[in-house]
Amino acid sequence: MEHTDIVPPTGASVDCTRFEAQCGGYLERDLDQAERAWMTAHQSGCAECAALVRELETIVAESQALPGISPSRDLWSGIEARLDTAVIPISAAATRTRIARTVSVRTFAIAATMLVAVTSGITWRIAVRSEAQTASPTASSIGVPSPVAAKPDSLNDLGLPGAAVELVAVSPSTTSSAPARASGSTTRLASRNAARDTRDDTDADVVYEREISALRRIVDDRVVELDTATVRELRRNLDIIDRAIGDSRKALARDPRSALLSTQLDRALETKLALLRRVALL
Amino acid sequence: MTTPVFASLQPAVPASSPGAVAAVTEAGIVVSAGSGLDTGLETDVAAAATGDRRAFERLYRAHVDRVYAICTRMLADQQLAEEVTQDVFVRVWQKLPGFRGESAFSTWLHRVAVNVVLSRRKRASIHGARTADDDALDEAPSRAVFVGERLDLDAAIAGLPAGARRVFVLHDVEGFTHEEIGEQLGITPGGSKAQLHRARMLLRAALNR
Repeated sequence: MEHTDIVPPTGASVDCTRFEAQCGGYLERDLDQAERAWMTAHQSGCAECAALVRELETIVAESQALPGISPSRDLWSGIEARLDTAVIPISAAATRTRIARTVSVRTFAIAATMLVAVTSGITWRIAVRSEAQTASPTASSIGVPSPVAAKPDSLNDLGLPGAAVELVAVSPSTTSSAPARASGSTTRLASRNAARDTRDDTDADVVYEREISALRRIVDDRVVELDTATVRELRRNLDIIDRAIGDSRKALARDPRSALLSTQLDRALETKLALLRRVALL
Repeated sequence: MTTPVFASLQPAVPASSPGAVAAVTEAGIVVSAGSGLDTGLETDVAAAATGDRRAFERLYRAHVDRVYAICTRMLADQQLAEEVTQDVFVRVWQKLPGFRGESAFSTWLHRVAVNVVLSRRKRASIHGARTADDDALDEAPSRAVFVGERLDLDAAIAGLPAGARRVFVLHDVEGFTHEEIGEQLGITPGGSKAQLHRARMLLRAALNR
């Protein structure tokens, strides 16, 4: 583009178009020297383009001085309700769960070793006493119990350690008193380890449950203010999420060491939280 | 030089915001208009970072109008802006323990607010919800609201197409550079400049109607 026509022809619309097109760069001081000189010269001879620059500069100045705006209502109560319980970020929860499960594998191995030792002792004693017919159900009872199936507590169904405790605890009940004593102490030891391992998972669950309950209360209070279609949609979505949570928990019960399932459960819980939070703010 | 500097946004509560002053007074702290962060607010920042809920409430009351203004101007939707404003303060509460005071609290807060607004937009687009935020550059203003005979600047901003509005608010109101805006919005600095010029021209046209 030629920049030699420093003196602008007055009223030339083509120059005004050019001026307007480059006005952004002019205001941002992005033009090279020759172009800037042309713009300045045109502006000095064209009242319309001079007015354009003045008005744009006024808009910029006023924008920088725009005041704050007050919300139509006090938002603090909604914010404070969400500060009550810190939500564990998905990544942190998943990391913690994985760490807990790494430890639980060790615990499981120790428990299994002890179980084998105890079982061998019992079998040997039984064989020596020629009580083969009573030994058989004992061996069976040791081999059969599924760590998962034996777990009664739904809060613990995220973790393997509870299963390890059950595995050790089941065997002595069908055996003679001496092994039962030995096994009993093993159970207490395993229980202590398991309790430590499950604590992290349980803490995460408790935090999630606490926040979900708190949000549920807020949502329940606000349900009357929402239209029926929204409430119906909310319930439908919550049902879907609850099913996903239930399915994840069941799958985790079958495969407690699966990081994928653990993450899936965390995501489902997080989705439920996000939905409740959104509704709480409606 | 017409480019605003971010430091110009330091005053936490503008003098022309009576609602904010009243709220601050109610919360038991005094912020002199235009003085920026006073020691009371700095103390509140430190206390809130350690979990002091009352100190955080005072911070909220001192800054809510500015945060809500960012959200409103960026989103052009007052109800959504209220929701996002709450998200901003919850996010600030979570991040506050990590705030090292390397920048002014209000500067940091503004950036958190912008990030929350933009992440909300990204989340919406990921979930396929096309909103007004996806307006094309050339779309005509649609939500302009006249106040009496003259269009208020805020109403004119709300009437801008979303892309131009975001760039205008970030640059001319909030003081971000074109490079920063390009990074945040996933556009080139040149694209940001084009959007800005477009926005200013549309505002001029709207205000001169």
